Amino acid sequence: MKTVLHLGFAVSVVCWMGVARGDEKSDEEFRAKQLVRSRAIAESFQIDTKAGTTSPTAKLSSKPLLRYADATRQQDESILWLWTDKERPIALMAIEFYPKPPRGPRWLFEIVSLSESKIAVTRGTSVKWQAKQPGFARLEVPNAPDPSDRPALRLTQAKQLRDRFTAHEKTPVEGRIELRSLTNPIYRYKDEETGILDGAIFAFASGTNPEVLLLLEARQEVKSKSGAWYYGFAQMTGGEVYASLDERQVWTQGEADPPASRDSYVNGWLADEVDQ
Amino acid sequence: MLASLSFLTPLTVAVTAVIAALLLISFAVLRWLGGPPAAVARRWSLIGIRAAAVATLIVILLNPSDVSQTPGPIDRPDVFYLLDSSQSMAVGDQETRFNHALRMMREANLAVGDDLHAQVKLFRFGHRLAAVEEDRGLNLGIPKPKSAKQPSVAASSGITQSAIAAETLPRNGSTTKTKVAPLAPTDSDTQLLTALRQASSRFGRRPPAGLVLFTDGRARDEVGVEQLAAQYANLKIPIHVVPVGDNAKGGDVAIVASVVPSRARRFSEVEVQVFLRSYGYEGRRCTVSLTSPGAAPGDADRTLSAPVPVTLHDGFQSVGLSFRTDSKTRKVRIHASEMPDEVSTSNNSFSAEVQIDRTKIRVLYIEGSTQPLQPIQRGDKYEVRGPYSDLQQALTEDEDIECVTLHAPYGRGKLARIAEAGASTTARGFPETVAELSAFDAIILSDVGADSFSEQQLQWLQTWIGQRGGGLMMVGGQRSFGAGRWEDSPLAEVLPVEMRRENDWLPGTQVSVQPEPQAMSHPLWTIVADEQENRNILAKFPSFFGANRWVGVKPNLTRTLAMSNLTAAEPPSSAPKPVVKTDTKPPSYFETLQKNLTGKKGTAPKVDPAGAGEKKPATTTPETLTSAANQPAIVVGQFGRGRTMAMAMPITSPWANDFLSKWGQGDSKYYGKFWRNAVYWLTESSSIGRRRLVVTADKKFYRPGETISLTAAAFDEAANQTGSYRITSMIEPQTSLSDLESNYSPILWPDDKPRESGESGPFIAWGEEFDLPRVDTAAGKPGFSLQLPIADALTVGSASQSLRVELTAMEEFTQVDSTSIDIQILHDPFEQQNPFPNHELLASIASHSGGKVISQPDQLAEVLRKVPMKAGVPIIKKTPLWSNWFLWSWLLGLLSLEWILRRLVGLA
Repeated sequence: MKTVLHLGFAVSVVCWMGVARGDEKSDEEFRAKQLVRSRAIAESFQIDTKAGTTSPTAKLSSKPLLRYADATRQQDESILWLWTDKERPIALMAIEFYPKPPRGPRWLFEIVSLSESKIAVTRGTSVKWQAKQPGFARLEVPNAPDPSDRPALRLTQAKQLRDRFTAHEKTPVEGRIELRSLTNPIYRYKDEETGILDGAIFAFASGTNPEVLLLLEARQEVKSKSGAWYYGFAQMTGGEVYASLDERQVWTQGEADPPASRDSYVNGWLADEVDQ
Repeated sequence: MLASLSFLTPLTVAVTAVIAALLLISFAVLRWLGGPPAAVARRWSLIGIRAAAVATLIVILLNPSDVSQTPGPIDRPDVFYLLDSSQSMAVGDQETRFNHALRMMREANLAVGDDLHAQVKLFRFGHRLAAVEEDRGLNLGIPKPKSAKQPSVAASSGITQSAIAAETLPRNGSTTKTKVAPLAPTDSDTQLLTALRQASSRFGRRPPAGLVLFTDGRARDEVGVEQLAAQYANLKIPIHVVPVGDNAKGGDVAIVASVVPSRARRFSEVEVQVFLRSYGYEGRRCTVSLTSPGAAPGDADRTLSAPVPVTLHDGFQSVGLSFRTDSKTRKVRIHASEMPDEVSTSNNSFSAEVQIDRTKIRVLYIEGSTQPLQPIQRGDKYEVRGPYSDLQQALTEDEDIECVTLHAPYGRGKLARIAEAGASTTARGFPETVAELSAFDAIILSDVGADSFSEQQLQWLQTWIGQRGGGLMMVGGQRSFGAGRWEDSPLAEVLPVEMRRENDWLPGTQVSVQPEPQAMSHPLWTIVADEQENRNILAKFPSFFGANRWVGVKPNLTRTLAMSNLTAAEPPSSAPKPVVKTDTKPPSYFETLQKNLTGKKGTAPKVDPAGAGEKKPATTTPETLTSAANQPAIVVGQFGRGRTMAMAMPITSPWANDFLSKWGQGDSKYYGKFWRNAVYWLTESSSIGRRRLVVTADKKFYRPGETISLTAAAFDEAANQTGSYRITSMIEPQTSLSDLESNYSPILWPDDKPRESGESGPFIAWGEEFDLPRVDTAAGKPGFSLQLPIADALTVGSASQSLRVELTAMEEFTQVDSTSIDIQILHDPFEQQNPFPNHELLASIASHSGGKVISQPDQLAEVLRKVPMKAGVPIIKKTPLWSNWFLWSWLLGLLSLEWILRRLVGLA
């Protein structure tokens, strides 16, 4: 009887380990599948930098910029995608999966323009949206040093400038949420033709969920060679967001509960993608 | 205007006399041969004109010239001023040694005035010798050569200019406009011998007429200085010395550095490490205090912690202090009390700033009270208030706290999440994943039994508290502690009290609670800032009905914050009867609400107020338990990384009516503050489970030569620790780039680590990327770790250097999270080890080199005046006046006039 019990115990342990490994594997498979789904959704969108013209379409980056989850909102497997023109960011798209009611199971998409022109977003016949304003309203960072010659030190400069900014979000349920800045930029770029020595997108996140994006650009006048740092903000949430520079509020955006659109931001639900 | 008129005729007096004699003889011969002139020609006008013409010719022959003379170039020999810019020169009360030296220079220059015979060149020394630009905020008024007419050989040699150019090259390849920082005594070392050696390489074509040393004489390389001074004497270059600093002092106490976290959470304990240096007060005591400067000028400083007594011993020592943050960013001032006759008291203080990290604290509150729901009308809206509402409201009054409430009706059954305005949903109950649980910082369990949770959920809770630093609080009630069968659950190990294995709920008990006098400093008891008022408030801590009675307090890592006296009493009339497990389903949320809204019972089973119909408890409360004195009432503890709190009394009505509504009046209700204090304390160690990359270092501060051991833990979406990410890191300076001395951090590149950045030096460049290799923890958990050796000496001339290690978790090319950790490196420089000046050394240098010991500005002025100055050959410029057009016009005019006059009078 004792032997039978031992055998039974051993079989149970092996089964349990098998189940555990199976769970782990299925988690990985699920994540891989969600990435494929997310990419498919991103690819189904088309973003044009100039509406009504045949100008080149912004190009979707091959790799996602950021993968995150927000357990406070029961949001899983969310991914941030970037559209660029050469290296310059044109738009960012967050695709977030809400697995459970009342919001889920559905995908939420958010697109924010980072372009200096008005972008147009289309997805077949289901999504057609034209930005009313350019996404990147460039403002000079006051009391900033001139951009360094060395890219590594420009990154350090950008981080030191980023430390002067703060951001927070306000939601009806959770109230004020102070956002923390992710230490490193989620994207860096340059465009010598337009005098952009260095550009960096920093994220202010709740946990790891990016809610506010800060763009910092080191620009140099082609003729005078004089350089300066510029900043701009973009919302990556439907919540009410605020940003401050040196403890003085410099930017805010109102609530945009999905589906909603703002001057340079749009969001919406994609219920049809769940079972793909 | 003529400079000077000279007659520079090439004719000698004898030749002139001969010519004059010949002319007279010729005139006499012609007169004798031709006879006297005609009468018509004998006119005075003609004679006058002719005489004037002859006189003009004679003047021309005499060669009148304008002679101007320019003095030759003055060769002012150099005098080198060598100014000690080490930190010891910052010592001094009314006037620092550095300022004393500058004043000497300024006053000597005033005394010299225009009678300056030397070309003064200023250098600073400390770590090394460097030329100093004149616009570095010194305002010395060192005279420059007066004009271009007196060019200085030394000034035109370009020695100083090239030295300065070398000093002002843009650092770090920056295109920033070069900002010249004011010269200040900042070097952490004085290398006098090196400075004197390096000075010789700055000599021009001709050695300087002398050196003047402005220093306190406290140097690390004293040996050999006198021999070098003798060599200067051989070169006939005297070294004059200006000793600064006061020898007649008792000693010095200085705060040289401190480690203060730049960010801290609200109402959390912040540890401050203070590094103190003293000299001359061996064995004596001083105190180190921590204050916060008043908000406005004139406001008194606020004491942040009680002064800590320190027994001084010569050299370096560290002191630990702590304070609790409040709701605002605070400047803190650390001060060492002044000792009698200190060299300087200005270095007894140190300032820092602690910013408030306002990351939201998320609390999961689970309430199992049987108290009915009450509809309350607010304006035109109805709001449902339940037994959880008071605590929920108390917590969310603080906008940095979020409270998610779950209601377990009758302490069992499915947990329902309470949304806004009291509406409930069973769609979301207890967190369904570890990730969801990890997103909370604290959990409060009130009157809810262990059987409301699955074994897995309880196991998650234990891990979440022990490993992620979550906070747990359990408060009393008929389903809490032993009465809730918690003694056999995984949380029994976590809680700070030993529970009874029986029903420990004592409903028929009046509980009077007294905060423990020894625990009054605990943050739970800081209700108001004023200490006396706070004591009065705590003296009125309300009493309760009912309590759970524990076996006792666990011996380790626990602290009792309050004791209670239990007295047998009738339970409140509205108190529910003891509930035990029955097979009868408890009324649902909606049934209870319906009952209270309509006054009718729903379909819920009848709950007999007398307890009829319910099974009797398996174990009954012994009568001997209901009356007892000195029972622990509030106990706190620690479990792993997390904090725990146990409160024997219930917190809902009717048991805690006094606590809910009578502790304080009007807006001064202290119930809310008590709870917020509890939550802030419980969550102090929470690692904020929403983060997916957490980094720690093995120490709070390091010394040069030590090794930083960095450890990182990464978490996947499910909050499981993972090793599947790549962790990249880089080192960033804490100071502004313009203040950086070098492009490299003081961290050495690890020997065995391959390098892909292209850098090849021994140090890690600022911003240079490197990976943290995967090194699993001793417990077998996946982790990342790297040893980073610190250089033996700091590259910059400072006693401390702070830097930031930034880490990013990458999944292939996708960022998952990034975070950073501050690292403080503290140096123990020789410079600060002895604050007394060494005037004997300076006198010896002067004596060996043939220089003077200068104590007054006049003496220095005299030295500058007596420097032998050489003047060059003057330049003489001669301009003959006959070459002027007006002279020849005059002569031509006379001749023409004479001709016209002759024609008029009829002469040929």
